[in-house]
Amino acid sequence: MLKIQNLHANIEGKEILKGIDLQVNPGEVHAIMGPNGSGKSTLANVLAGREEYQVTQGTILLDDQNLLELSPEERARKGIFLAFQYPVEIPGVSNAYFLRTALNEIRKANGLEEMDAADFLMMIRRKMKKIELDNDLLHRPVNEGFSGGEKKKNEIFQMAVLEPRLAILDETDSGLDIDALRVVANGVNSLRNEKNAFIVVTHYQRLLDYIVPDFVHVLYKGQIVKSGTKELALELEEKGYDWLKNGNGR
Amino acid sequence: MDTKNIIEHFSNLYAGQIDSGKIGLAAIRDEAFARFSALGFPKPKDEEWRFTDISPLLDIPFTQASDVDESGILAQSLDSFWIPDVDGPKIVVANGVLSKGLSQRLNNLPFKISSVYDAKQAKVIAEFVKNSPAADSNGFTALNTSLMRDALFLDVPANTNVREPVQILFLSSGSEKPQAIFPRLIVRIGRNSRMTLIESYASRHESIYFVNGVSDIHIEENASLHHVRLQADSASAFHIGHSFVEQKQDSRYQSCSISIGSRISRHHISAILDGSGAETRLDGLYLGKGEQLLDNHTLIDHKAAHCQSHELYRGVLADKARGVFSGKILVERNAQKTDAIQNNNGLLLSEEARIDSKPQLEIYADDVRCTHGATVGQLDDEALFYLKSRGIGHNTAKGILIYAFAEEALKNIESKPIRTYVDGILNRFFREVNT
Repeated sequence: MLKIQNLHANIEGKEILKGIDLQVNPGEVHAIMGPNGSGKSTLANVLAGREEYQVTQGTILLDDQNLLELSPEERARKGIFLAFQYPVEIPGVSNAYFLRTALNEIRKANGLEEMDAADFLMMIRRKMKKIELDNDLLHRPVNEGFSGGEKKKNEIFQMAVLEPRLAILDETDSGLDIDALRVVANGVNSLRNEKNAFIVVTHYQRLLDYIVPDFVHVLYKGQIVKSGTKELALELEEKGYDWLKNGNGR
Repeated sequence: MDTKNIIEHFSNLYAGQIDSGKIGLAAIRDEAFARFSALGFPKPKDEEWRFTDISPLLDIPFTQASDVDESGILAQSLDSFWIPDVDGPKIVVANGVLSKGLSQRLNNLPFKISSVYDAKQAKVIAEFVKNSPAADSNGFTALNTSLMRDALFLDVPANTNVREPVQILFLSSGSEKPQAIFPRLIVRIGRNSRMTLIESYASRHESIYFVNGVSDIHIEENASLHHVRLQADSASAFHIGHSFVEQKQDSRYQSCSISIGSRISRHHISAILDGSGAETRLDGLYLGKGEQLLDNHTLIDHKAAHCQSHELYRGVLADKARGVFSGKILVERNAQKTDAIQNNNGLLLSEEARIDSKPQLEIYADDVRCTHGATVGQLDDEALFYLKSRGIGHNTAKGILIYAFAEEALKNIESKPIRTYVDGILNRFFREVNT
């Protein structure tokens, strides 16, 4: 599904990613771990198409299509979804209106009919229950005045509605208490199927107790220095990131 | 033209008035013209006009607009100016003169519509004109008083609920020669009465003209007026409008002033809260593009205790457009327990657009709550990326954010048909600036 080769990326002239290789197949969950500043969020944002990052080398293919040629909205319409580390507040735009607009733009781009307001409402009511999202959040402006946990749940809720093929969760666990973490993880797990895939970016092993990955990659100084299965996450948790810094990465 | 020439130019117009005797205001008009001659038009160094350069207006030798030939205009040709699904009267004031021929549904109304040509009302109207702050506020309002060709008077008696919104279209006919038009509106809402009023300014033809209008609004005890003012004049027109609002005890005035037309426009509202428990809400939205200049000046004068005023103006400016906002809240010595909030926020869609904002609080009472805030910014890139990352296209995403910003100033328009109509104006503006 996704094939990243020798990816180099800069922000404000500073090189952050220094040659990433990663392949993600349908049905897989990949965890990307690493200390602060290793480039985890950069990778997530480059995949989503954030304009501030310049890709200087390498390729990203989504089903043999060059992802780097696509705008953020085109990527979303092809099934890429980024759950933001810091979800953005948008005053004056209701959550429901925002989501329906997004869903219909994606549906239109994929040759599907737009969903009318009644069908949409019925569908999202169902999905909200799953994410344990408060009904009144639907009619409030996007993320405005939401608690940290509500914002993260709202990201997962959007994911549940838009049903992406490849979801990238950028430190969705940061700042969540254990109950919210469980809700978020349940949301992800209930969406997992053999056709979609997840990249879970996290600093801590904790989230991976709930979202069990097929593969774990350790990112350090802009490169994947170690890949393995879920046991690697436990090993990292035990030994800490200093273990990498002492040269054990390679 | 320099000041001397301008005054001479308008003197000629004044002397040449075809109807000066007819409307029974000769003495008032003479006095106002003397006032205009003394004041002239505002100069760039006047603090109140510092950001608004009116010199392009002064270079044009305007003539007094002539009567509109009603038979030459089909009532249907004005359809696009009326708000659909509003059943109230549709009043046309063409080139400043009430046009009964083009107006619709003037009969069987719960209030009176009259003009200076109605002998029975002429005296009352003259009294309002005489006592209006327009007589000597500044050169523009003095000139309106001396050169207006009619005054439209809406008189709502006490204890009357005017259910259907009343629409007034101030139509400028437009012509080859640049014309000056001096619309005058007087509204009185009697005790315990209420009304919704839409006051709009437009032209059927793109042309150069100058609207210099004055509205005098009187809201009696416990009465309420919802007022939407829509300035949608031609792109090459000039529009200077003054609204003088006077509120009695426990009255409510809710205004939304929308400016989208004209090359240079200014709307000044002053609301005088002259009885305790009065409430004023001034909202405004200005949408500019090209090289437009849109100026809004407001003055809220808290004379009495226990009054509230809320004010929110929002501006969206594209290209090289300029916005000016000046809002003054004056709390007089006796106006204890005043609660006043003022906000002005601007959204700039280009590097060359600009807003000058000047909030002023002048407080002489000690037990009051007054706040003000002003911001000017550009579209939030983070929010834009967030919307796009969910599949929403760039232009749609921009439109959503601009709409959300602007909409805040329209929230208090309670009538759904009016709101839908205004939304349509907003959407047209976005389409024009979003290409």
